[in-house]
Amino acid sequence: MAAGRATLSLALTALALAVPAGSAWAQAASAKQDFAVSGNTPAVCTLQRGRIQAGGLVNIAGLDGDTLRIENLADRQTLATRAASATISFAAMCNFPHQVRIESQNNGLWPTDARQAIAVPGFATAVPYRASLAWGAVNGTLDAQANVRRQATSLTTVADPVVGDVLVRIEIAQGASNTQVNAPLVAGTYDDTVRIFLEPR
Amino acid sequence: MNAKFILAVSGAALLAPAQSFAATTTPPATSVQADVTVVGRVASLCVLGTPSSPQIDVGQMAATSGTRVGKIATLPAQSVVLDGSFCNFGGTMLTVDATALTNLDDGGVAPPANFARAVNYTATASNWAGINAAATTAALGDGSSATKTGLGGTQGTPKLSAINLEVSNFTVPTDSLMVSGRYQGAVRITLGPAGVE
Amino acid sequence: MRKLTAMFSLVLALGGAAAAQAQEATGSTTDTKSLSVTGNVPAMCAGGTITSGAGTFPLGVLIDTTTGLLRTDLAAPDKVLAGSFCSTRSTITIGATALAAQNFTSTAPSGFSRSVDYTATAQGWTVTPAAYTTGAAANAAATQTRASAFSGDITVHIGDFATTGGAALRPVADNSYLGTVTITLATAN
Repeated sequence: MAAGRATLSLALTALALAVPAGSAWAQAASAKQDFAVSGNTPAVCTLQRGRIQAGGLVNIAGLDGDTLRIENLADRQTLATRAASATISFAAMCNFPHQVRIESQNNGLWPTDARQAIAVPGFATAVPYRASLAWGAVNGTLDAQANVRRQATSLTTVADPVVGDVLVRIEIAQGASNTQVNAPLVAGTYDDTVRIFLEPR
Repeated sequence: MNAKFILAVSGAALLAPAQSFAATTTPPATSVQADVTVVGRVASLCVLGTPSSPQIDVGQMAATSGTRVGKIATLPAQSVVLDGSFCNFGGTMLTVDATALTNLDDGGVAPPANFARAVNYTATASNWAGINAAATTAALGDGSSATKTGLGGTQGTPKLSAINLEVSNFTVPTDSLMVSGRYQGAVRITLGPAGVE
Repeated sequence: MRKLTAMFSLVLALGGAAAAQAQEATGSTTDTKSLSVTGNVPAMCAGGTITSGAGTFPLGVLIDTTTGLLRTDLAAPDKVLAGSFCSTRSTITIGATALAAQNFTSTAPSGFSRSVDYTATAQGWTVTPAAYTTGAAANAAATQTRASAFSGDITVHIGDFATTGGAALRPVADNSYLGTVTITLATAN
């Protein structure tokens, strides 16, 4: 009889007791994912065709493609070299530190007909000139002295990437000659090839 | 339990005094008798003992890392004991009504695709009759159809026992991801005559 | 006479006892107990797995090698984060850093740039994709909110490449330009 009287602790308002003790809910409250984005820029130089500048033109007929034509290389009366100058600009770009090289193939204007190269006393047989270069912040100079016919090079380091115009100024001095100043020039065609290189160091 | 005294009084004893005044030939009685019958009745009673714990808290239910992150973790079974349960008559049984846990904090709205807001489980009441009373809830992901009932076998004779109630086998409908929040369900255990719901 | 008296008092006593007994509590043939079963699921997000290749958008050569300018056709295949989910209301945030030259770290000379801007977007989580443009003054669309628990795929896309500082600038040479896109899923209250 006594057992029947243990009346009931009835069940509990579940709601009040349902709140859990603060568990580690922050365990995975956020998730993060990184993606790399990759690419590369190769070292590149570009050099366009030369364009003759209007300013500083002396005794120049024009730029024919790659050929700079001098109007009259020799004075009609004395046959001494006449001054001539021109500035050619080449649109260019190098996106890395590089070097610029001017190369003269002949180290001066020499006769195109090899027979004319034989030294003739009293006459000039080659014409020296100066090629000056400006590119970004650097300047370079190549003196083609016309003393020995050979390749001549001038090299200038460029510390930064540069975009702009390579300006090459060709200057032939009045009376320039590979013998005495104002020596008369042997008849014929004189030429040289100047090459501009933008390249890795 | 009631005990009543029913006094049955024989008519002969009441009439006895009247008879003593008459002068007859019957000799006076040397001994007289009066009967009292005592009858007691005990009612049929089932009582469940106080549960060893008023609540079963399963704690954090979802895996927080690994391949099953966000899905139900493997949760251990838990038991509650109702000590001192008894019925003083035979032909009794246990009934278990289990209600799945459903989310309390999500406003009852249907869960998003790939999610569920209910947790099913099996409730087993044992240590009474040969066959336990067990119910496995089969709530749907949205929490509907949350309750299931299980009947145990018949206990033929009166019994005093510590009934064991175990909750186990926790699963989520279609093994979906679980909406965050507090969850609650309930188990109701009934002890009474067999065949009566 | 004595007996009569005794009987009556017994009857009286019986009546009293019966009345007293009627006030006692009685049990019943059925008893019921209820217990609550409780648990909890934490608010959490998981980022899913990258389904398409590794975690890098490989753009390759960035410039047109005849001009040195940024290519106009830069593209990389989208990346998918499959099976991302948050068990509750959440925010998705996208961030990105410009593609920057890793070896040429000094200031770029005039006419050049050492970084490339772009726009990164994350689609599939929210109605409005989360978007971030490197170098922009403000990126209001960088964080978007999803009002309820969600599970799904997030598609990450990059595009709209532009040389930092202007389209006329040229990227400096560098064999490694690198940027990062970051996706963050976070629970929200």
